[in-house]
Amino acid sequence: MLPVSPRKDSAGLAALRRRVALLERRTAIAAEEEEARAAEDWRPGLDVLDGALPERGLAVGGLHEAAGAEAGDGPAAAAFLAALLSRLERRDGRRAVLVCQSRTSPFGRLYGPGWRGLGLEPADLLLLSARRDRDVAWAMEEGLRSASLAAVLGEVESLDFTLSRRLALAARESLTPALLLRRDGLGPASAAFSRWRVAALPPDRELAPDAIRGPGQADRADPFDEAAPGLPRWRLDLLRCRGGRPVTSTVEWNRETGDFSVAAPLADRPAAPRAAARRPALAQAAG
Amino acid sequence: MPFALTEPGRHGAVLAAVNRQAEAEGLAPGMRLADARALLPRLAAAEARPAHDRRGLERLALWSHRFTPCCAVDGGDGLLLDIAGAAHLFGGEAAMAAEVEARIAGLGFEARTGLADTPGAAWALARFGGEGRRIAAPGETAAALGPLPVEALRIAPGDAHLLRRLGVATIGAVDALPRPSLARRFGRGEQSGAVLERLDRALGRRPDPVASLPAPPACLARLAFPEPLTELAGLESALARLMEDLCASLERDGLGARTLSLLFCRADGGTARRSVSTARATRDGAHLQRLFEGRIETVDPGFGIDVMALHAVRAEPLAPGQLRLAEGGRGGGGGGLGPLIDRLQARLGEGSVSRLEAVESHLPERAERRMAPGREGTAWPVRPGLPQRPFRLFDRPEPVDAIAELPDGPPALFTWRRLRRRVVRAEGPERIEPEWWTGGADRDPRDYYRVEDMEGRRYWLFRAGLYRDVGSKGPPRWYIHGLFG
Repeated sequence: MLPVSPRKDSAGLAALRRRVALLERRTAIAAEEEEARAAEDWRPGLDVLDGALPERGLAVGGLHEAAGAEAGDGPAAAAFLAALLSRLERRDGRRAVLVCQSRTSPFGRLYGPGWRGLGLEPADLLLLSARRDRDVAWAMEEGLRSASLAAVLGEVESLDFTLSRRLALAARESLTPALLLRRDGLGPASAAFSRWRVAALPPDRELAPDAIRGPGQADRADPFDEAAPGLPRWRLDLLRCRGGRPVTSTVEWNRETGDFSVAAPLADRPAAPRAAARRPALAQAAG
Repeated sequence: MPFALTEPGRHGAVLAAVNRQAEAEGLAPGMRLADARALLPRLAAAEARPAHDRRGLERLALWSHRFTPCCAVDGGDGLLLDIAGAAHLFGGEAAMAAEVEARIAGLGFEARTGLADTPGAAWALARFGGEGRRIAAPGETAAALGPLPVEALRIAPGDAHLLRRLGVATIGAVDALPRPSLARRFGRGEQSGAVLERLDRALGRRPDPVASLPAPPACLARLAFPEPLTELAGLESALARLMEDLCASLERDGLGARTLSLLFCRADGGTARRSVSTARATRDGAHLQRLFEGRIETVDPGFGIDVMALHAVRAEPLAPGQLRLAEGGRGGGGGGLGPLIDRLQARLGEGSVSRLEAVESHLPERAERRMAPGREGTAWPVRPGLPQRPFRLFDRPEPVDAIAELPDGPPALFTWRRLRRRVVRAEGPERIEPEWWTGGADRDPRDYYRVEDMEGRRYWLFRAGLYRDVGSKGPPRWYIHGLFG
């Protein structure tokens, strides 16, 4: 054996160590990623978005955050999370969804009939109302750790990094997705797997001023009524996604089919073809 | 120093209670204060406060939970403890009686105990049984009561007096009398009936309904510490031992707990109690113990806690195989929805978790009902024809200022939360009439609109009231009731 002088080779050794550490961390992250995967993939089902995500889509065992671009976009962000949830395959007979809200949400409380309208089953909901954000985060973590839920949905004003890390860990261990609405917008640091910013978009064209008609319409929603609000249109910013890349897209959400589509930026362009995949949640709810 | 408590009597204050020195000087309750002062000028006296005494006695009853879960105040000067099944924890009935007396003496009171098969007999023995004769062995009640004076039957003073005048001085003598002759001597049937009733109750021939005694818990575990505990860690490990005991006895009886009550008895006589409930019957000790997490910290140990008891206040039959109620999930985890619900409710309060149930109602706020999360929800019906509903609803619709181009049309502009919003899309109205059959006949019909503003945000607005009612009810008012995504 040759005696090696530590002082002489220290620079090279340090560089070597750094490389090894980097390699180790990469494999560690990769293992972490793999662990957070379920058997089925979980994707929004729209090429623009799916392409920006890592190969197998969103991590089922991960924390996913959304926030409105402005304060008034909170409901749009909440609806986007519901849309993601409706595209999640239910596994192992885990059907219940824990929804944690504080009593003081400015957006009101979750309403069963409307939830049904989003294609999700209200009977699966476990509603938790807490007084403070801290209790909401605690309840979410308990729910994740119980490993008996299909997903945990939460709404908080803000969340610090430590708590987000706890949620992310609990989600990974139990392979339960945590979907979190942040009302303060997206803070500087978070351990979330993916972070989305959602902004509601106005209807794509102006109507004639007298098009919004007065009384005398039928009670039923008329699908050909151009004065009625159409499909919700959102600008989605995927700000961060582990193993993916940021992307911005303008989408429409069809609550009846459960599909996203690219919103036509021009009035006269034909609608983008819808993704053909059936929505698992709906299929189960019907069966 | 001789001391007496007084109460107001017909001719001035009357002694209500005297201490031992005063008793030695010949004073007794019932004497007039003026007479007592004449006998004993240095007698100190104060007015009796029965309400305070009562409260003190109630606190003492609470404190007595350290001995047994069934304790009640009995009359103005007694406590009644049902020690069935508890005496062995103290090393037998005599040892238990001695410990009760010693402990109460430690609090600065003097107490006498009587112990018998029936509450009446125990009452008599505590008050009239002499030293060393206060415990009636099982089945020996009649023999133990025999030599006691008739007053020990807890009968009216007049009745006792009459019995004595008849030459019947002891309970044994009363019992020996032929019953018809007792009735004849009393002359009035109901009076002898009362005496016989008391006798039969004391001797256990007739049930003695003591309404004030709470029902005993289904199962209980108890732990007394030679050294009072003050550290949280000590209390937690004591709870672990109690839980083990309790779960073992639940298992033996085929029961599962729904409500647990944990009692802390402080060495200085204070008590504290913490309760938890579960959504389903369980005897999973680890789970039950987690429910107490964060609850024990709030107990003030004072100078130390010397007794802890864990009661299964509510329990339900639970078959042996039903231990783990896990619903799917990856093995090992927290195990099932029931435990999760319990943990959430234990920390955030009963009723913080609920499920939604569909209700047949046109009124949006009545179309769902919150129910306890314990049982599985039933799938909601699909109503294809129903217009879209918001996924967020305000419990109380918030008033908005709205301007409509036509009186019966959708709003063109509205102000909500100080922001003015211009409506560019609207659908409606959907007329929802009040449910007159549920007493809402005097409420206004509502016209709901689904509207979208210039920024693409969607709201559920309604107009309450009709323009034709402007004269009687004022103009219609606008509200926001929900939000769409």
